[in-house]
Amino acid sequence: MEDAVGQGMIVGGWEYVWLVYGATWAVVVTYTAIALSKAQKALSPAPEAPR
Amino acid sequence: MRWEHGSLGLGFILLGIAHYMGLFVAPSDAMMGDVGRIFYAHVPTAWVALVMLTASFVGAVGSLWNGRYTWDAATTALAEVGTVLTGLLLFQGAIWAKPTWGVFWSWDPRLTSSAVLFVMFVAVLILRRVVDSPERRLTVTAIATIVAFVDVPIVYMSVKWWNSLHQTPSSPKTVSDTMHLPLRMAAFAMLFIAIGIAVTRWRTIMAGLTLEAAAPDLPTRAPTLSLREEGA
Repeated sequence: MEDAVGQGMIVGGWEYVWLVYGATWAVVVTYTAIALSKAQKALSPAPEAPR
Repeated sequence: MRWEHGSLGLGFILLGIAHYMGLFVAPSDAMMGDVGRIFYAHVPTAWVALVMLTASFVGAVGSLWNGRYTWDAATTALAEVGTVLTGLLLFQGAIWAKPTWGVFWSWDPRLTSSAVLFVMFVAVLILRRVVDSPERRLTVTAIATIVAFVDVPIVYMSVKWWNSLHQTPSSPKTVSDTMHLPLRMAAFAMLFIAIGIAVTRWRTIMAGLTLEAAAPDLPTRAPTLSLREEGA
């Protein structure tokens, strides 16, 4: 890629790549965890009221 | 364990393999170099976001047609997943724009229509939360979803209709053979994850609606919207 320097081409840029992949994983993992947690609360049977 | 958990597990495994290939196996882009690897994260997110919002539109038409709360819950779950993915794709796109266009944001037709789409579906989800009556909520959600969906074909066609900084729609036909496998795999991975989350959210929303319906003064379906039965 050194030939690209000064040719108007993009060199490197891995920091942008990691940021996008990191954000993608952060969003899908967090959203999945929240969805599963809410489902567990909503779908588990309610405890019986104390007599 | 429900089937949607399998969909989520398969999706995450496929996404790990696809992203590994996109980062370390696929060649760097001829023009963009390694920054082009953002392609394997951004494009599948965009595809699946539009698929989810289109499915939400189908759910909205269905819930208006039959007045069933299960369709209302599906519309909401799909709209929610589509909205989250649209927000993610806007972030991914902004990060990709910086090294390639020199700016994080441009009021370009594709970017602007995508931002409008995100705002409109956020509005749908907010609107739903402020309506108390389940019947009215079903109607409001469905109509708002249908209105917001109008922007989906505009987003897709924006790069064809207007001059845009953004490239035309990507597909396996528009990219090199070496990019096919990670691209397809990442697309299916995102689809499986999106379906898994949408079904999980649908079950949760249905549980809430069932609790609401358990109250004696609430019907289990919206009587004013049973268009098919009324016409029969």
